[in-house]
Amino acid sequence: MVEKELKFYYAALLLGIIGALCILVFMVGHSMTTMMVMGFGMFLIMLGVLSLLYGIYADYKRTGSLRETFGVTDELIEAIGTIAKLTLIVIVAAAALAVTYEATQEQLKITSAGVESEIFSRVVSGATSFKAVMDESEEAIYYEAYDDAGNLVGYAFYSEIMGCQDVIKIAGGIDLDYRVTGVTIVRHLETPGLGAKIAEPEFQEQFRGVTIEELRLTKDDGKIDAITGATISSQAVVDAMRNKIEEIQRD
Amino acid sequence: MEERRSLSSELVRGIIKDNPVFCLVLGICPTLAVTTSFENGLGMGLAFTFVMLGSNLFISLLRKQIPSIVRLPIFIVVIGTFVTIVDMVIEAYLPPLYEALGIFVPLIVVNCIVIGRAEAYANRNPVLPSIADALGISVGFILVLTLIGGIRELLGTGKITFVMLWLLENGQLGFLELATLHIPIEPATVMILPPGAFFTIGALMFFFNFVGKKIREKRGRGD
Repeated sequence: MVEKELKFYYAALLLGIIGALCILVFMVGHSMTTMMVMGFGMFLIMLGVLSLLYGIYADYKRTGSLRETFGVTDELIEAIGTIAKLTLIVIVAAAALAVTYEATQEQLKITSAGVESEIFSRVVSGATSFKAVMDESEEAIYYEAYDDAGNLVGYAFYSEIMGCQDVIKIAGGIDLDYRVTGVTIVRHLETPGLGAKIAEPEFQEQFRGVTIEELRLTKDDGKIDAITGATISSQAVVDAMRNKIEEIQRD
Repeated sequence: MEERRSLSSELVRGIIKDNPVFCLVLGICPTLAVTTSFENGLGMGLAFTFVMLGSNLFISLLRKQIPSIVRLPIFIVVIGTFVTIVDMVIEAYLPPLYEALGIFVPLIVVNCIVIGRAEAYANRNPVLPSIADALGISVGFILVLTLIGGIRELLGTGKITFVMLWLLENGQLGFLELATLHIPIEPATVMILPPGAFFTIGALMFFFNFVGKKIREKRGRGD
């Protein structure tokens, strides 16, 4: 036999569901009829709430304690406490991260801007300020390099190409006659001791003053000596430079 | 019994008896991956120290509040927060180190040393011993990382470069190479490559355990 209070709970549930369905009808189509149906639905929900309240009241009268009426056990309290603590810790952690993020964002901008002009001033000697030349999609193709007096002295650029292991990112500079003024490796993952020598001055110095015609490896009648045992890496740097300079020439 | 140990013995224990890499054999992944140079090892070790201290401190402070049923999620959240803070700070202030350490800073989150100490020590001990424990373990870890990094760099490139930091100078950043130790050795590239890490760790682990065993035998009984 179903307990008396339970009947009220079931009634409340049923009334609530029917009421919600009636309101849903109004959501689908707005008209006089559906509005009346919604009104009826609201009435049913109110009945349901009353039935629920009465159920709780009957429950309370039978057990005589509010805790038991709502089925609050020690385990439930403990579980709620656990959830609350976990939530609290996560909120504190999120706040700490937000603060750190805000604090480092500014420095990150300074650092990356500093890194950029530091890199570019190494590849275009004498240049102190750089102005990005954008393409249609607002991405920098290359940078115009100006000296202290504000004269255009050359162009600086980034170029990326697939190396032996991963993408190599280089920064290069050319003067107004498209002669290479310098090259430096921004990022690479070449084999240490072999391909990684592209990052060393001995290799990079060869590029200085080279024209676009001479910008090939020696085996292709160019002026750049490949690193022993690292032809692919050497070729990649040369190609990255050539591609970008040709792109700037066309522009 | 744990409670009565002195703080200094906690410190030393982390370096020698519970050395994370050679004795507990934990945290091998970053040990193998980032020890290509002395500097990288040191940088990784310092980042690790910050996380280790923060996590041990907080978990030890909260140890009576942490419900045991969700202690692991809480450890992970605490550790993850510190790791992310370190990650963001390194990215903003030390870009070369950030490039060199790459994915291995975020991976401190799942470093078994940190969570191991949180579970085995900080969760059961007061704040001060927990900090001593964190310091000991961190110093042990730094020693191992710099030792392996130093050996690999020396044998792999023939020199050890120290302190190549980005320094802030009048708002401009500049490279400064403070010291370079050069020893005439024919560099063996393999030492910088992943196999070199295994060779070095294996040899050092053998050496330290061998010495440790000899010392214990001399004392008469296993300690």
